[in-house]
Amino acid sequence: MKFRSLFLAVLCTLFLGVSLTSCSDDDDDEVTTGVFILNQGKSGNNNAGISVYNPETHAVTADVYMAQNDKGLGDTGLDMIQYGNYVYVTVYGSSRLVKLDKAGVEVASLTFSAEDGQPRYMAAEDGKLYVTLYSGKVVRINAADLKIEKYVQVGKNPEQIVEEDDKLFVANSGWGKDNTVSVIDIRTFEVVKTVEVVVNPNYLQEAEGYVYVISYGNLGNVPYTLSRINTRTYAVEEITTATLMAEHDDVIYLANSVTDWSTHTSTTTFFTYDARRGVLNNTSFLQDSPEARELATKSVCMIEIDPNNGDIYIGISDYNNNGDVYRFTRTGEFVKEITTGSLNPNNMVFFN
Amino acid sequence: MRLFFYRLVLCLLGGGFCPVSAQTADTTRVHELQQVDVSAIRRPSVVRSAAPLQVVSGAEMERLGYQSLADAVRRFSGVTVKDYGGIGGLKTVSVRSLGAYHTGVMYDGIAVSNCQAGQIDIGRFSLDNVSQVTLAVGQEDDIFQPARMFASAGVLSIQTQRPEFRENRNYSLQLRMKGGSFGLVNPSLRYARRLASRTSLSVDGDFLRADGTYPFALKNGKSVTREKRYNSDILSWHTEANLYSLLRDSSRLTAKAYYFQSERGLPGGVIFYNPYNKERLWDRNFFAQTGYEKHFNPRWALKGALKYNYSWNRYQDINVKYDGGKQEDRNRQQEYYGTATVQYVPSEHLTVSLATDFAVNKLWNNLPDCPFPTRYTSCSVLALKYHYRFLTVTANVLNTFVTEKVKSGERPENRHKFTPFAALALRPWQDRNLYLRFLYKNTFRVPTFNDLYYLRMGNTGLRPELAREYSGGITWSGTLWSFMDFLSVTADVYYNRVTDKIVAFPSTYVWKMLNLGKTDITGAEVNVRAEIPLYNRIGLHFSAGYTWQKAIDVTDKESKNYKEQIPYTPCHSGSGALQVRTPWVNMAYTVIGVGERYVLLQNIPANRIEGYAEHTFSLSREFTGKNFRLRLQAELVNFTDEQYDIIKYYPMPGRSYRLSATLRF
Repeated sequence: MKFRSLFLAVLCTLFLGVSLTSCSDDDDDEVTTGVFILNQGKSGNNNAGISVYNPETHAVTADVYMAQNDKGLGDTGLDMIQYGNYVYVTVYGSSRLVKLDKAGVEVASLTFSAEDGQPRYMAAEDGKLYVTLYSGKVVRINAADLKIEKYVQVGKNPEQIVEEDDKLFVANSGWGKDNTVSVIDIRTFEVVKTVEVVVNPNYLQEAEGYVYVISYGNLGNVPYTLSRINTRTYAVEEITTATLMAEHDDVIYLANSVTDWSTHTSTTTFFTYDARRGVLNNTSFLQDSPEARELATKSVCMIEIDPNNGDIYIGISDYNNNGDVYRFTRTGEFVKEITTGSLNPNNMVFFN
Repeated sequence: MRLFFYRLVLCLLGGGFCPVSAQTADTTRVHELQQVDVSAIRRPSVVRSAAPLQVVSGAEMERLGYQSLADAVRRFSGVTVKDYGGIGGLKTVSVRSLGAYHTGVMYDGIAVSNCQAGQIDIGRFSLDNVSQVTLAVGQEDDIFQPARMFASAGVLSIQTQRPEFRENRNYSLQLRMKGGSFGLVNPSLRYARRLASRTSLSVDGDFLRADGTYPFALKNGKSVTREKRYNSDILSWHTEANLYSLLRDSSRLTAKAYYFQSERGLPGGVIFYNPYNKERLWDRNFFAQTGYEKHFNPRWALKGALKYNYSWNRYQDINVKYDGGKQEDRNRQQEYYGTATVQYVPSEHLTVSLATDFAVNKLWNNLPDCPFPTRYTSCSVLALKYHYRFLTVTANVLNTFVTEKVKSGERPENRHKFTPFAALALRPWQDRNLYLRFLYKNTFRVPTFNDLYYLRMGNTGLRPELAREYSGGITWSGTLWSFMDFLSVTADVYYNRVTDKIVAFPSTYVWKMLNLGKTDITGAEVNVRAEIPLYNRIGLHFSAGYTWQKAIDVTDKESKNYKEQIPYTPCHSGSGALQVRTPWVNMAYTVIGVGERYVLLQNIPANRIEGYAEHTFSLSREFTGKNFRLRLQAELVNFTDEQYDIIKYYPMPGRSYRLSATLRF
């Protein structure tokens, strides 16, 4: 790893030091040594950025990408995943994909052309990255050198993409005009099935042989809906109303944010869905605390679960000021509220 | 009577041979050494005006090298012009941080309206046929005006040139050719003809094209790269015909027909790493207005006007993300407007006027679920002006009623409001031109069609946005030192409050327009103007203005930006102009400086953009021939090549030049 910044080198050494000396209650847990938070920024303001959060000291470094690369990440950072020893980020407004090392140093970047369309979300599998593009395509990219290999046409304005069962599932939102999830065979990279779901599907998660979909509905009589697709039979089953989800250990963590426009207040309820047994549990996964109650009055824009220890991170944003992230333990106990370095946190990656 | 009137006008403009003593001379005495503009428009006095007023004449704007109306207006104190860059970019005016929606724009006495967007794009008015631009806080002192003039928190008034005929000719012709950087070519023509002894006609035409590909410096982290602004071209033309007639009973009749057309690229904000932009905008605007004014006797006068306005625009964006590869929005607005004002002067101290306006506005667009609204607005004003010795009081109450009809969907509630205005000017010493002035105005603006109906964001439950203005000041003019011809100083402090501000309120997935904002605005402005004759026919004219403004958001005590400066409002800003007139050449230097601003609500370093200063220098010379006048002018705009943005990521051009030649017969 190249450390361009002495400060960040010190920070990373501290992480290593902490990981050697800290104790954890559960022997199965790995220790999270570092956390990146992707801030979307405000569209048109070129202020997407990556904040670094230290899970021990709770310190937040505003923009590690800027600090390490002496330039901005771009406009509207949309998706961030960890694959191999690298972090990949799609920057929608700037129409590019960047590959960073764990210190935030850019090692490669790829710019998409006007015909490609701007990139949205990614999935990674077997040394390849699969990125959805607003031209209605999914592109396969070599994760090592970021070279484009192949395109496949899916539906309109594809959003999230997940891999399950040697297949890629792509949500085609069409900005409300599409209602399908395309299924692509990873080996042949061809569409093998198009599944009809509730209109305007956007978010996908996978667990235990099912792909979970959140559709925005039609912002009218069809609400935000959580459904799931059986990856073998392609049967679709509607589950409940939800606006946001995250998955960990075969549990889908859900939030439903509703805004009453006459009083401009928002209410969010938290609940879970047991993917193994197929049962919805309406009890909140957060324990009652002043912070959990405060979150219930906001519109939630991010739920991330630390895969190393199950800690829950919930992000809120008022779209005008820097975003806030609330951290809870895996049992829902409040830990800390942190302010990120820019607007609209939307993704987190956890290093161990 | 008429002879006196013309002599008075010559006095006001020519100076020197006016039988008024220097001690009581007021600021309307302006020395124009080389040009005599005989126009029937009275230049209002910035010192005597009870409402803070700023004036610039067309001749002055030409000599100082102002490039456009937006360029002239942004130099006024207390004004924030949002300029999205380039010759064709959108430019809107906000007076004392109240917002562009609260600024009324009048073109030759009749309001220009845009019910869809609510803000007037002043970038489209060319300066070629403008004779005077005034900016009044509150409203102008003259109460013999249509009701709409009383309905805004600030009024920007544009007056066009009246026909001028020299030496008993019955025609006049002006040809002008302008050219400059970034492919600017701008010819214009003005032809006026006396049709009968008391009727004249003038016809204007101008054409403008520019490729707008200006270089700019882009800062990204530590690197600064030179880029070019693409998709910033403009092609526009405008033509106007005016008829002026003095009827046999001394009543005045005017008629105007105006057409404007443009096609321009919208370069959009600069996005790091992605220069692709293919947005374009086509505009077409036609309006016809006719006015009538009759003074029956010294007590009674009547004024009326009718206007029809049609505007059409088409927006296009080509991008693979749209269904079909492109998005096209088309809008059409129509307005039918009528006004009548009656003025009664019962005594030499009191003037009373009653004005009533009626307007019908319709919108059509091709967006899904367009409700095709029709808005009916009726305004009436009862105004009075009382002048006695050292005191002048102006007061009025405005009654507004708005109702709307829609073809589908919900319709908003009817609005009915009474809003007052009062202004006071005191002159403590009769022999000195020192005035104290105070102003209070309560206004509101109804939600625009976009606020109410636009896709999912629109909210028919919106209430009007309210603005309250308080202003106080001192003005003075006179001759302080013997070498000065005159000096005038105006200083004002003000406090404004905007409540029920219509803002877009976000939740994670949908944004909606709501009455949510509250803004507290405190400010101070100082304006100075001086005329210094140096030697023989060499003179110096100096003017400067400075504004301090604190406009803070006081909507939500819990939010991170509570009591922080609202976006794009500088704390400090100022402008200055210096003209040196000699018999050989006229020189002018102007500067505008704006302090740092914040681009988003939170006042943090990441959101700050730097202040800037733009300097312009111009040289001109007029040659007089047997029966023609030729004026040549050269301008170097932004000669320090300052790289700046008014709106972040919409860079403004660096150094550029312009040359123009004007031939007048």
